[in-house]
Amino acid sequence: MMKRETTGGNRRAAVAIWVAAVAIAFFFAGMVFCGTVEIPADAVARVLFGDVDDAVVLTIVRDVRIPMALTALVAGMALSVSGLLLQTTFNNPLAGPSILGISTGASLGVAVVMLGFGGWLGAGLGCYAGILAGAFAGAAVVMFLLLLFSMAVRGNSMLLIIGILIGYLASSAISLLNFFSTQQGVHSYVIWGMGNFGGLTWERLGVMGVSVAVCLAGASLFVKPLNALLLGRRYAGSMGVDVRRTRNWLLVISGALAAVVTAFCGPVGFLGLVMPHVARMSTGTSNHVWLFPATVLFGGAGALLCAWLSVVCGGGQIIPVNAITPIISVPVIIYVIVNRKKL
Amino acid sequence: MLTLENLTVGYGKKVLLRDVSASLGAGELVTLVGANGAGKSTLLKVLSGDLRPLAGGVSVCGEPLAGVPRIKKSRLISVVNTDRVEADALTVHEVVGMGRYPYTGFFGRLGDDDEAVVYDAMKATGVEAFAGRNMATLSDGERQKVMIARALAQSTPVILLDEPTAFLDVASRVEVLSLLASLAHERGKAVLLSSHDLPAALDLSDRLWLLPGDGAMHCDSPADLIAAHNMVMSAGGTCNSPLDSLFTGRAVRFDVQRLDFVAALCK
Amino acid sequence: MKHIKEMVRCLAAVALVAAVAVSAGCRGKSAETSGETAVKPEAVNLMTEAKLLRLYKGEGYYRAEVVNPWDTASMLGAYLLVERGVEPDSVPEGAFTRIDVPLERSLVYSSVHAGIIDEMGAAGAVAGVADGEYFKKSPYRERIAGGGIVNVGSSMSPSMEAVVALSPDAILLSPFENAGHGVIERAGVPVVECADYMEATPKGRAEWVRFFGLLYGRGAEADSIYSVVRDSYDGLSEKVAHSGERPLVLTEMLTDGYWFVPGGASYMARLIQDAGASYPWCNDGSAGSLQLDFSSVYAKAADADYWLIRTYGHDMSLDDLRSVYLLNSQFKAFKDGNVFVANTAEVPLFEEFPFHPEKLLMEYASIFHPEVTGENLRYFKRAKGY
Repeated sequence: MMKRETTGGNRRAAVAIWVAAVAIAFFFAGMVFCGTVEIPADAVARVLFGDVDDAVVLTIVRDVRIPMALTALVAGMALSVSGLLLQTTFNNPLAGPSILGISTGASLGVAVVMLGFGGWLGAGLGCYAGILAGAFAGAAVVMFLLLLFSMAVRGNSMLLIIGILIGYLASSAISLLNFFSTQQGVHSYVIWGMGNFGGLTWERLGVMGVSVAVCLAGASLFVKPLNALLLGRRYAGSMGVDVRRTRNWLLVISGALAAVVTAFCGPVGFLGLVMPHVARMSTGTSNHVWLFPATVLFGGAGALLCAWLSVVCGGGQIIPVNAITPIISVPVIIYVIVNRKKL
Repeated sequence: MLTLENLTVGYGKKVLLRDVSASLGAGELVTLVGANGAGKSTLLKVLSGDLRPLAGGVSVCGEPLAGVPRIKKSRLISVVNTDRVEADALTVHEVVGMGRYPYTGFFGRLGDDDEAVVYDAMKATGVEAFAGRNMATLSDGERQKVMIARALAQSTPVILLDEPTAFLDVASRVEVLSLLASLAHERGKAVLLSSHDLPAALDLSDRLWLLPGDGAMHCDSPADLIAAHNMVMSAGGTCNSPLDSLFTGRAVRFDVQRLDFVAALCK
Repeated sequence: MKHIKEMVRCLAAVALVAAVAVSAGCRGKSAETSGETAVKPEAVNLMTEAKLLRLYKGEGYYRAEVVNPWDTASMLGAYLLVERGVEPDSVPEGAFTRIDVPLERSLVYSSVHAGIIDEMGAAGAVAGVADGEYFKKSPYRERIAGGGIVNVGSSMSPSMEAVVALSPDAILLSPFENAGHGVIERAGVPVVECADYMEATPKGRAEWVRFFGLLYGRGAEADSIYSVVRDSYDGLSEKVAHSGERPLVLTEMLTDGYWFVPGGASYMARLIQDAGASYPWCNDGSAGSLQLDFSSVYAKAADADYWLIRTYGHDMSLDDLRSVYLLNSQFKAFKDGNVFVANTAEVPLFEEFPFHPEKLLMEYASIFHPEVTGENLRYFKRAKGY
């Protein structure tokens, strides 16, 4: 009887996780020290250490930059885990919350609130609760449809296609709403659709953080079934996994994560699709015991990177998030597709 | 161990097996033989609980399969099939370790006992040398052995295998079949596999279950089957012994010398 | 190999057809944008403040040129205003769109233009409008509701059939609304590009009334309207210029994550400064808006004395401002209660200021220098909650 010690793959995974953590720290600092307003580093440092002399610098650093960085961090974690759950559940490397129409459903919910009920006015004016409710409702509708179809449809690819089609339906509904709405409303919606990590107060950030934490905790309970699903539905079932129930729960959690982010930040694309792959490639394993935390950390790092780029590359303005995420993500996706055999 | 009671198996309107009764006991190696489409995979899916029978029932270790809860069933029956496994980035050790799924706790951590079972399974299938390697680096044969090791690590009395030698070269085929025979004869498992490799089946199995495709299943030991074939041949018939009935209407007949099918003109 | 040759031939044919189609389509446009690129040196431009409009008087005609605001070296349109039924002795060179004045059945897209047309007494010459729901004032509202004035639909995509059926003698619209009017132009209906909203100075924009006066045969009324506007404006700005301090003024608010503030050389910045206040972005050179984020605005205007916000349909209170974005409460103007809100759905701010900037100037002066004007506010109200 011989006891196997941890294999080399785990060591690489551990290193990768440390790298991701360092990246998070690095880009977080970048977000605090860089911004649209020129503030010398020593002034920022003074504020961080409690010297609250300059009220303007204090407000900007404490109430604008740090919340924005935290929002990006939480959003990145949420979206990438959402993508990971979907990719394993559907056994498809191109699955993600945007592709399955969940983010689009959430966007439709928000569009109904913004455009249907009073345009910009309703949206801008602390109908924040309305926007949140709309996002959750929209995501819930899409998830419900997906669950419904998952009972009728056997294969995973088919369900993915149905998700894509539902997403298209939601998009067309949004277009219709836009067409019949005021110019101001449309403009508002378009801006919202570009994604935005800024604008959250500490209170709202708290709500977002707690929601995401709850979902991540729930998702982590599924590490074992997720690993089993790697072998395929039949093998997973033969090992005792309730495949249908697991798939449903994973859909719900994934959808909830996507809805939370969409509600607070608008629809942020690509991160959910790409970051799990970055985690996979860095850790070199598909074992969710390592992949799950790696996805969480790489997701946070990736979002922080995009947020930081959106701030420093804009020349005094903040570039919309959804303009940056594809630039970072598409090369990674293409690399994954081309190198499919390897991983 | 595994009992088929008046089992009718098929999809929707299409019936593949009608009112079939048979049993598989501990220590037995049984091979399921038949033409493509005769119902081998379907029968295996029903026996593993993946598919509901159209009529009749299956019992495992005395209990009706339909009523056995999931986890308990996974401790009784393990499967190996030809599904493409997307586990390229998992190590052999991790894959075999998953066989302990029904026994491990929350995150699937392997205790000392589990590790022992895993090691033993890898040794029995001859893959312990690859333990740290990623599945992607293995050949088809090695990968198949890993999946068998996984099923072995699941410590179930019944093992069902759907064409386990499908993509293997000759040497691997022999190794796998010998392994399966030893699992049955030396470890007392009830092993049922489907295969196209008739000579090996006749050589190693305790019994063959033949599916001629007419809805019936013919169960017999290799010796009895060959004897029956010889009787039919000596009585002057060709192409209509139980073994020949596997491929009625096709231009092959069973040859006792080679223990395999050869080209022939059957009427 | 044969397949490839076939494909190439096919592609070439498609490209040829496409090129022909594109050039045919573009021909319609070029007639509009070509024209005089230089002003005849001997003619005298009658416009004094407006920079995007040039007006010249000739023998029996007026010539008007609208400068392209996005490329001031070229023209958006050149028009020859001739009295109906009269042929001028000499017609200047160059390409023109001839307009028979005074207009009798015009199609007007902007309710602001319609408003000044009514003020000149020529409302009867408006036969059609676009975006009819924005024409809220008499006499237009009743006539639109009664069908006497035709509503051709959205200004972005009007119903061409309705426009043709109306057969207007001229269409007054803004340059970016000029989409798909090829059909109408070929039918001979003049399209007047009104770039007045792009004027960077209040008086410059108001001076366009003189052009409209000529179009509608109310030249004298228009000139007199403008004179009053100009004199009031100049008089008031002179008064507040010497009244001591110039408070710092912040405008607009954060919407959808962006804060659009007027550029330093823009209309609003000019108006603020003429009202005796100073503007945080006065050194910026752009005539349009600056798209900023909260931090950039806060860094420059945290200490602004006054904060002016225009809303549509909502009387924003300080609590509302706070709940829309918490950090709004950090501005000095907020803490001092010097936030002023104009609900443009209820007050005629947008309808009046283009041709009566002196009213808005008076409004601003009354906010920044109440001691000088002593007037009640016409558009803005102090935000509730202080």
